[in-house]
Formats: sequence, structure tokens, C-alpha cells
Amino acid sequence: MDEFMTSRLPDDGAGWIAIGLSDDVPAGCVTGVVLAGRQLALWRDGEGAPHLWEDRCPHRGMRMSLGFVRGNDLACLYHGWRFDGAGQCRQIPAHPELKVSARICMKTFDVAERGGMLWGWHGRDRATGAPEVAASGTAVRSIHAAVPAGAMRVMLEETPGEFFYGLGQLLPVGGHPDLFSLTMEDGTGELVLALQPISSAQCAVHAVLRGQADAALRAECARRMGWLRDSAERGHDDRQGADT
Amino acid sequence: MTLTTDPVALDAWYAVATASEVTHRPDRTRLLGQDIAIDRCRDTGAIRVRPVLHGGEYGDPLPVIERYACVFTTFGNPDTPIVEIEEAGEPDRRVVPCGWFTIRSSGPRIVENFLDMAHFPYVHTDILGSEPNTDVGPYRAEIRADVDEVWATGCHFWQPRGAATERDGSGMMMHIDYRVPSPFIVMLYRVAPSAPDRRDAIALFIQPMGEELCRAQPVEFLVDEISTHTELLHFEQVIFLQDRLILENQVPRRLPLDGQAEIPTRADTASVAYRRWLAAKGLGYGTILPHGQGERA
Amino acid sequence: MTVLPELYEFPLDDECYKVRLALSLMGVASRSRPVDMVPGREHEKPAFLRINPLGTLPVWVDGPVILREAATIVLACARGLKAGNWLPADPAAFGAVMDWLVFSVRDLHAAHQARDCALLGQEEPSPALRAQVRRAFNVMEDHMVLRHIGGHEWFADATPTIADILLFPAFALCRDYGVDHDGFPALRRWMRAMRTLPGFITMPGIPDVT
Ligand SMILES: [Fe+2]
Repeated sequence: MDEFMTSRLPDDGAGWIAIGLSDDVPAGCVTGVVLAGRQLALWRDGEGAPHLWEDRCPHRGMRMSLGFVRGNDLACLYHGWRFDGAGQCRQIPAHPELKVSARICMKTFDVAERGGMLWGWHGRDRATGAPEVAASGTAVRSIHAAVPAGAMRVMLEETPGEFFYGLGQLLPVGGHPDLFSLTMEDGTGELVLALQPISSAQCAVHAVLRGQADAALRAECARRMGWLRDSAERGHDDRQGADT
Repeated sequence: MTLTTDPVALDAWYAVATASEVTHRPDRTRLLGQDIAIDRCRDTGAIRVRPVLHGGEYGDPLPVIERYACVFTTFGNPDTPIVEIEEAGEPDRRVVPCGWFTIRSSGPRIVENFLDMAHFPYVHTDILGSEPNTDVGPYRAEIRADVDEVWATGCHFWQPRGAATERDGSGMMMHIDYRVPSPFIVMLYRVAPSAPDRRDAIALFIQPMGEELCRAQPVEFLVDEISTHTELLHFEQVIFLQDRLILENQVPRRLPLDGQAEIPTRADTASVAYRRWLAAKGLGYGTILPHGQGERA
Repeated sequence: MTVLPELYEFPLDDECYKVRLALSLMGVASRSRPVDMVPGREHEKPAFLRINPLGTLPVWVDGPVILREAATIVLACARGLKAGNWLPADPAAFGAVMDWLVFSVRDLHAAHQARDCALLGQEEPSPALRAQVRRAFNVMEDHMVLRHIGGHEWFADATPTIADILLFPAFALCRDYGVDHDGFPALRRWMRAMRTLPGFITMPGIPDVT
């Protein structure tokens, strides 16, 4: 049986996982994301509300992340089936007159927007509470690296100085294995990083600034994030090379 | 990869090459998980298809039939001959093999896509369909037990530019019959736009390399005195590559045969018949059989 | 009567798409000469080799001038425009355009190879080749992240240039060989902006409907 169809989110370790930057998913945009091993479609409707759905049309299995947003609906690229913000199918173009059955709907996941980031709820039950980060945040960037989250976590915990020297000291946020924070040496702001596991070979890190966030500082932090990705991938390649 | 043990998949004919492209130099490809080599014997000029064994030597030649511009072979004992396409024998037919393209999907997903009219406005925009003409009217789909084929007849769809001859894009109602003569071969017949008393035939021959990786070649049998060969080719190739983007992004890649796995509508009558037909055959290769049916290693 | 320049092309080829897209965006008229590259291999036959001995597509024939590389065809067409900013005159922007032009030919060649293999090959493109493509996309992504922070939407200047056109096909078509757009949010944003340009056209592998 296909792993995708049978996978269930584990009940333990329920919580919010960062899945992208608010700024990177503007109204009308749809993209694929991975939440705890599950492929999902993340999109923002015409009025600005974010949605997180199973990345699969119930009709013929087409990935919804290749779909298109019309108004406040997401439509499937294959046959144009339109689903409203609640995940309910509203229109089947092959049968324009048909009143669509309530049975035809998307599996939806809880999504939250906080601190300049989009968060997906990971857990069997519906979400409780908001992501435990400050409300505000200015986008720096996301990086996607071809290394497992574990390898990235080790780099962020053990050698953050290689990337963030001159800015401040990056420290894990207590109680959150995937959150890191760096207070700028001049005390004017804070860089927040959220790690997103994607697969056994991939992860993402989403970065925002709090407080002072002028273009020069954002650009500097964005560059450092690029270094982080490149170092992680190089180090990972070297280790893989040494293994074989 | 090794050859499948699925008996339904083994006992079928597959197109694996274009006959005119076969040379004395063996071309390597794969069928149902087994590496094969196709070449032309230097002595007799006959086309050979041979399995490539571990270590690189060739096994005993497989049966070969040249038909419809293609080379057909099989690993098993098909109880039906290669599909009979009557139009292919007509002297004024233009037979256009449109080239082999690789698709990361299963053969049955590819067949089902070919049977589907409802996607025309979204996937083949301004060619085979366009909004707001998205309506799929009633048609008839059936499993014809006497010939063991699936047919969908009386299909019609409004197409802005349904054939290479239709240059101005003013559109017409296209009348189509679909036919699935074998699990990995699918065809359509449509009224030839430039000769309304005759039918064009288009076949799609699928070569399943693995359960989720195929090569496929559309072959057209057309009545068309207007279009150049290259125009006919490019028209069909564009359509085919548009479908490829869909096929490579369907989840799962194998076709679920359980009626509950995916939700059909009336427009999917042909697809429903095809899935039922495959389930009744017990084809497990490139499909997900209903729970409890045909458990395989 | 003016004689239009001729473009020898294959509709499924990403290099030919670079030129078609550029002609459409820049409003340059030409005559299409479709070539049966697959399955006919017409580009390897004597009649075609007399036009382009390299046996490659696209080819641009404008009177006595024959151009054989998508980037130079686009460059030449942009140079001939009386208006617009597809090829900026400002030295800094011009330099940036030329730098990305070379990148599109050299560093994105892996993307062309990966797509060719995925479409016509017997095996999927190797992980190494896909990794090479991803590294090139990372360079583009890093650049566009900084451009976005600086308040810019386009690769080389305040308005779209031929750099954007020449870089577009490799990224827009990367799903053809199993590389997703999801890991490149800045490029996704830029791709969405490209789609809004007057005269924008797609090719198979890039969804039409929006
Ligand atoms: Fe199609």
C-alpha cells in the first residue's frame, strides 16, 4: 500500500511546525509543503486566509499544489474541481449544473500564522493554542537544504558561529527542539530560526527578524542563511563520501 | 529490477520500439522490470527482442510481431492477438508514429488519462477544450465480454482546435469513441475533421518499464491531406507532454482499483469501466488491487 | 514585402522555448519552421546540417545571418528593438544581464540534460545531475532573495530583461525531471511575476490555466 495513503500523524509530540514564511505565500499562491512526513498543499485565498490541505484531489489523485487559486477557492489543475476555503468541493466543471455532494471534500489541516511564519499543526487532534513565538516578525528567507533535520540541528547547536559571527550568539529556545534565537549584539533586534524536517534527506529553515529589520540587516541575515545551507550540504556530502 | 510475476501483465503484447528505428546495434530498454535488447539480425534482417540476463548475455529471443509501425513482444502466452485496427490497412491512411516519451507513472494511469474528456479545458487549454465549454455530456461505457475490451461510445466534447487541420481555432463539437483493447493499449476514433464521412484512429501504445515508469508512443492513423507530417507530429506531441505533467503528479502513481479510493462522476464512466475490467482481470501490475484481492510478493 | 526571419524549432524543446517566449514578450515577428527532432531526428539529416552543421536547435535565419544559440538569438532580437528595456544600456544592468546570460547557457545546461533524459531516456536522471541543477537554482534563489529584500522583482534590472527570459524555462520546466518548485520560494514569486507579463506564453510542462 502506498505510504502516502496510510501514513498517520503520530499522536505524541503534537505541536506546531513552521512550514514557510508568510511573505513567501502571497494571496493566490499555492505550494507543496511537508508536515511530519506528509505531503500537503499550502495556499492563500484571495482574501488572504491561509489553508493547509492534503496534497491530493479526491477525484483522481492529482496534487493540489499544482492547482490554481480562483477567488477564495483552490481548483485542481487536472479537471478544474473547485474547493472552497473549508475544503468542500463547490463545482465540478464537467457537470456545471450538478449540486456537488458534501461527501466530496478535502482533508484539511490546521494552519496558523504568527511571527511572520506559517505553521502547520502536527497531531491527531485539532490544534490547541497558538505557536509559541512572538506575534511579530519580518521575513528574512527560507532555505531548503538536502540534509536531514538532525544534521541541520547539530550545526545550529554546535557551530552557529561559522555563519552568524559578528551578529550575535545563536541559542536554542528552551523546550523547542526546532526553534533558535539570536539576539543582535547591539540589542536592537532578534533573529529567529525555525527548523522544518522534510524527509530523511531534506529539511528547511525559516528565518525572520524581530525588532530592527531594515533591508541591510535582512540582506545580511539572508546571506548567512545561504552559507548555512551550503555548508550543511557540503558537510553532508563529505560525510556521505567518507562512508562509502 | 526483475521480471514481474503478474500473470495478467505477462500474458499481453507490448509495443517496445518503432520498427523503422531498429538497427544492427542492440538498443536496450526494459519491459515489466526485465531488461531487453532490440536489434536486427545481420543475416536475416529480422527484428529480435532478447532479454538481457545478469552478466550481460542474451537469453532466448522473445516472440516478435511488427505491426502498426511498432515492434510488439510478449513474455507470456497472450490468449488474444494484437489489437486489430482496421483503419490501419486503408491505402490512403497516414500512419504517424509520434515518438516514445518516458513518463514516471503507471500504465493504467496513462490509459485512464487518455479516456478522459473532462480534463481538456484545463490541461489542453485552447486546443482540446476551453472554459466555459467544460460540460461532458452523457455517453455510454461498457465492458464488451465477447471481445474482452472496454468501449466508450457516443462521447462528444467541444474542442477549439481538435486536430492539426483545425487552424483557425473556431472550434467544433468533436465526436469520439474510445476503446481499450488491452490493459496497456488505448485508442480513440473520431470523425476526421477534413473527411467527415470517415474516422481518424489514434492509438497509444504503452511500454511499462516498471510499475511506476513507462514509455509510451502515440500512433495516428489519419485521413488528412492537408497537414504536413511535422504538423501532425507536433500537434500530438504537445498534447501528450501536457498530459505528462498531470500523470507525473498523481498520487499514488499506481491506479487504485478499489471503488472507494477515488471519487468518480458521470464523466468518468469510461474510467470506472476500465478500473472494473482491470479488477476483474486481477491485474496487479501498475495498480492497487482492492483489499484482499491478488496479494502478491 | 518584408521577409520575416525564420526560427527552426521543436515545440517540446526548452531551448527553443527560450526564443519563442522572448519573441512573444518582445513583440518580434518571425516565421516558424518546425523541425521533426523527435522521433525523426531531422536535425541530424543533411538538409538541416546545411543550415546548421552543429545539428542543434533552435536556429535563427535572418537574411545572411544564422544564429545557433538561444541566448544569442534572444540577445540579437533585443538589440534590434527600438524601445523597451529588455537589454539595458546602463553598464551595471547590462553586465548583470550578460552574467546571467552566460549562467543560463553554462550552469543551467545540467537542467537541459536532466530534462532530456527524463523525457526521452531509459532511466531517470541521476541524483548527481539533479543535485547539480538544484545547486544552480540555489544560486538563482539566493540572488532573488536579495533582490526581493532590495525591493526588486527581476534578475538584472528594475524591469524585466532578457536575463529573466533566458533563466525562466529551466526553472519553470523542472518538474519535468522531478525537481519541485517548493524549495525555491523566491523563484516561485519571480515565476508568478513572469506569468503576468503581456505576451507571456507557456509550453507543455508549464500549466496554462490560471
Ligand atoms: Fe490529455
